[in-house]
Amino acid sequence: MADHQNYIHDHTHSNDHATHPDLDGHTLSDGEVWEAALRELLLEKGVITLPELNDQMNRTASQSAAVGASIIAKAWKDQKFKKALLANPKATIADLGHDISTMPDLVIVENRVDVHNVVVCTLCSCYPRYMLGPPPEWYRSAAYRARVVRDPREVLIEFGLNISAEKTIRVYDSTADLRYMVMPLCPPGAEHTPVKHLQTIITRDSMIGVGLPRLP
Amino acid sequence: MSETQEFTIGQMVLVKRLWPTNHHRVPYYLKGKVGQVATCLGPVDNPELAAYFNKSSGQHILYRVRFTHAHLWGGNQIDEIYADLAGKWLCKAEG
Repeated sequence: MADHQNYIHDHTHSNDHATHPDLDGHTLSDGEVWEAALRELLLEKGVITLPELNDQMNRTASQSAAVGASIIAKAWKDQKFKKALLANPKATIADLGHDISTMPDLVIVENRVDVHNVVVCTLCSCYPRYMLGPPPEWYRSAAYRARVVRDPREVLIEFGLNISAEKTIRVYDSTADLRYMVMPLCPPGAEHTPVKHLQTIITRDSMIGVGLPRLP
Repeated sequence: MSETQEFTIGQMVLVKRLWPTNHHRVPYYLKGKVGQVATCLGPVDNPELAAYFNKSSGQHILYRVRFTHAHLWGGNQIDEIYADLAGKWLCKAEG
């Protein structure tokens, strides 16, 4: 099936290029054309190598909110670990055996009985990818970024979260190079739940601050 | 020319009303607003040059500044917004 319109250009010298079998039979969007053009140029000019590109793609694909959830679950169970994690997140996470060499500086903000934390990046879409995986589409949307600083209560209600009027909502706008994530409160009744089970209720949204962990 | 810590924790600061067209990492909604220094986060590369791969201007001190929802939007009295801002963007708030 030689559907050449699906390719950026015909390669007569393509053996040393990254190929994307996933894209076979798929019409490229403008963004995908730009991505492919940039990727091919970077490879062709030797700015990056194919093994480097593949390593980074593997690293990105293996990131998910399960990493963050397992770390928060451990903190709920172990006060000493939690204290270290809040005081010095990167070093404490590295001590667990994680390779955080490419992770930007991280701040973990703890929800309290009287404070609910929410994270946004109004200027772009800074996000703690190592801990939470790739950001959801809505996190990058202009609507979320503009509205959560202006009217956090209404936005949280749209996420199904009605924060009591006596509780402070604290929005962290990650304007610099620090990445923020939320340590939600352990739901009442979960104190004796095993870590393995706890980490399944610590959702991505609860670590952004637009959700809460709930026992089934 | 590294900047030294100019503001102390608890101090009220005003975000400068400047409108450069380059990348500068200060959201418009905070410009001209008064907040309180919550934490001093230490030196960072000047984002206005680092974004263009130029680190020649030395470092700036980064502060985490707390703004009240009421001051920014005239809304409720208990909600807050925290943002990380370089010292060069802040000045002492009057009164």
